Amino acid sequence: MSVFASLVTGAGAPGINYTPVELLTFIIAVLAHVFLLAVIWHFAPRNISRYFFCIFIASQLLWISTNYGGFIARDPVTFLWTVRFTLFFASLHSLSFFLFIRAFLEDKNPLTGRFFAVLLGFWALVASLTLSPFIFSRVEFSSSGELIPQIGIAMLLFGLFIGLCVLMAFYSLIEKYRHLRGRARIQLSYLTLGLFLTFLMVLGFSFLNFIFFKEATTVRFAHLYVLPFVVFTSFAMVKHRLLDIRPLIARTISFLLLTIIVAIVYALALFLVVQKVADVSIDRWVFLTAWALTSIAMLTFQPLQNLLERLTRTIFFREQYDPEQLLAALTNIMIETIDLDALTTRILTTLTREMRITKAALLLIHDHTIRAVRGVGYPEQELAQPELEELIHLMRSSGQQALVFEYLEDENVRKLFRKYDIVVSTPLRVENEKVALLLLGPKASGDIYSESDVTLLTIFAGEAGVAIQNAKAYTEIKRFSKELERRVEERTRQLRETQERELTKAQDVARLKDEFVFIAAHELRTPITAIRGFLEMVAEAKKDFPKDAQENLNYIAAASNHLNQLVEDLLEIARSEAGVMKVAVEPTDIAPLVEAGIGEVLPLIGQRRIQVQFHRRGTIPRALVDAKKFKEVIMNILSNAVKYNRDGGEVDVNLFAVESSVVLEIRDTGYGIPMEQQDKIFQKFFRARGKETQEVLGTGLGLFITRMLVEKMGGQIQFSSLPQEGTTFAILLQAENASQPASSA
Amino acid sequence: MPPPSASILLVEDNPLLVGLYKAAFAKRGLAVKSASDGKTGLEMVKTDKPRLILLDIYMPGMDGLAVLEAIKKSRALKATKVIVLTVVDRKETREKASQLGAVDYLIKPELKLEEIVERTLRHLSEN
Repeated sequence: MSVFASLVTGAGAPGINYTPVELLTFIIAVLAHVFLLAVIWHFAPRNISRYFFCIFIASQLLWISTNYGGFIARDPVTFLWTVRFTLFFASLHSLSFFLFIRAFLEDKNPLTGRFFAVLLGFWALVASLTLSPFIFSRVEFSSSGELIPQIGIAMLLFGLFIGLCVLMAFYSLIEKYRHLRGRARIQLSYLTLGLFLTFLMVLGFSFLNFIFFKEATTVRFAHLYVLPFVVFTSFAMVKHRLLDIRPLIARTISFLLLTIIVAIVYALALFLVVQKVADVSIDRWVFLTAWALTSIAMLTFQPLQNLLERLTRTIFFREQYDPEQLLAALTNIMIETIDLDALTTRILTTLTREMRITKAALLLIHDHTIRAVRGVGYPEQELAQPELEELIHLMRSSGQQALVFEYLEDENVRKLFRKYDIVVSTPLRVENEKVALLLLGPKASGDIYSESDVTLLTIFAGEAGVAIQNAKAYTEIKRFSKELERRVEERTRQLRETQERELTKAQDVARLKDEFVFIAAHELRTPITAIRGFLEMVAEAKKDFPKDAQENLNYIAAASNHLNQLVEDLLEIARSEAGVMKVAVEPTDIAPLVEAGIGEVLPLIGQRRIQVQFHRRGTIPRALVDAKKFKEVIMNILSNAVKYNRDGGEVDVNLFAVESSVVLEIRDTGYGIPMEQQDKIFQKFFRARGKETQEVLGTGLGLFITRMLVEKMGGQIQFSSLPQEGTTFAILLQAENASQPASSA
Repeated sequence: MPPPSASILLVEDNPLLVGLYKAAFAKRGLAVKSASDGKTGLEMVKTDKPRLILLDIYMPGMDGLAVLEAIKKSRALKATKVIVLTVVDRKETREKASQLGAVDYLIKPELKLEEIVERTLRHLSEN
């Protein structure tokens, strides 16, 4: 047990003096702890792990201090209390170790209320026990004269607490290691490495060395062995902030070096000179003390100077502002603010506040006239006077400088300043253009404006001119873009209205065309209906008329039919061209339509003994046609085939499918179409005439309409004709679907 | 054969056609009364209460469809059969007429006089 006790406290190693080396290492360790504590406090991210880590470092620092105290304590009571306190801080150390590990790299406080309370309670118990006789009861002298603490009954509890903290910490560590990734993992690795090193060193130098080699010297340097963990963890925590502190470190190191060098030189000089001159030998301790004091004085000179300066400034120059700070603040405002109103207001408020001025105003100038006034403390309307424009002219002659009341020479200007209670007037310029005028009233303290004040204002004026210019430009741009937007909207609206009007007009036109065709239909067809009606009435009585009268009536009937056909054809064309003809295309079986057409054309044959034959070849798919209109087409071609045929001739009608088309072929054995007329047959009112076909009746519109209808249905019409041999017309229609035949042969 | 007193009213603005149809129906022994515009036609419907009306569409003033609508709206008259007899062969007009309650729609240029008479008589004898 005494071995353990001595390991914990480092005491009990026989006959070792505590050398200055140990003291030095101790001081270094303490300084390192303090430094790291400061670094962590200042640079680490402000979360709960920072607090726990600071407690950890502090408790470790205190622990090594009391531990060291234990080394050098000579009397039992002091020794007892140092070892007790060592254990006290050790318990806090373990607790904070666990808490820190638990909270490390977590965003929120990971400790739940109850668990935390219990743990804290446990620690409170153990900590209070360490200071009681239950853990270290008393101190006794060993055989070799060393002080050895005697262990009490509660030591087990202490050990339990420490062990618990350590185990829980390790558990947290392992858990974190498993679920953290990326940068967090790297930070954790640093921490773990530090922990590992510390552990290794403590184990190796404190325990193993003693156990195996009975070598206890190294135990004393335990305060160094605990450092790696702190160092590595601190590094992990502020690693990303190191960019900030690099210059700081560099400066500190160079300053330290300087201090050390100067101190050494001084001390050496002192040592040598005194020794030589005064022939006195200086005690080693005196030498060291002098050297230490010099170093301290040098190190603390700068901060002390700053502190004193600040103190005096606060006491004597309460009104004083820091010019650098004020300029920085103003520059910040000018960078941040782009809105003109906000910019001017902020500048004026900051100036009046920091320099403790009663009033300030900015006159915004454009074209040598005052365009706007913004004032703090000055009534704005009062300053918008043309008189003040004189100041603008003055600016030209005085350059960039500010005009201060006290130094004015021109009596008129003095009067002006007095009238409006202006003390300083500074022009704000951009290149050669005057942008604004800064007017300042008297200071609150009544003091005059100092040299540095004016310098500050001049420097500020240079920058402010640009800032105000930019703000003005920004306002312009905003206004311009708003105007642009408005114009674009206006234009769009106008365009839309025009479009709508055009559309309505177009619709009106279409409707008119429609109506015209309409009305035309009505007007034309009505008398024709009357003629045909009366002819029909007469038809019965016809048989009682003389022969020539009958023939005349027949001619009238024929003529009226012709007229009727013409009107119907014309109307059909007119409707198609006016765009009011609707062709409803649907997949249809062609064959029945053809048969019906043939049936209707038979009467036309009359006595002429023309044979009409219909052949279907293969499976014929449905074609995309408008049935009614296609009937017309069929009738047209068939009637032509009959009309232009010879007596006793033939009409061959073939229906078949080719690729994705349905083909209707009508061949006649007639007189054909003369070669020179063949390219005209589809023209309006064109009627092919040959010797034999002079008497054929027709309007000349049939083929035109036929082609129009066929093309409207998405088909094609072709023909070939040999004079005296006959003509073949072929109509190609789109098949519904090449693979879906609807009718079979 | 419908009784000779069965009355037909023809509303048609073209006098030639009026003469034509009157003659055609007279051959069948039917007397046809006529009105030359929509307003007169409507009044005659109210006074004469014909069983069937042959109605032209395009007339000056009140057109045939308006007359048809007025007839079918009136409780007293809506039982009257109306056949539209016109040159207008537009689908919309045909549909509108049918929607308004016309029993037939005859297109003058397409049908023979005889057919017109036949179909009218058929409607007249149907009850």
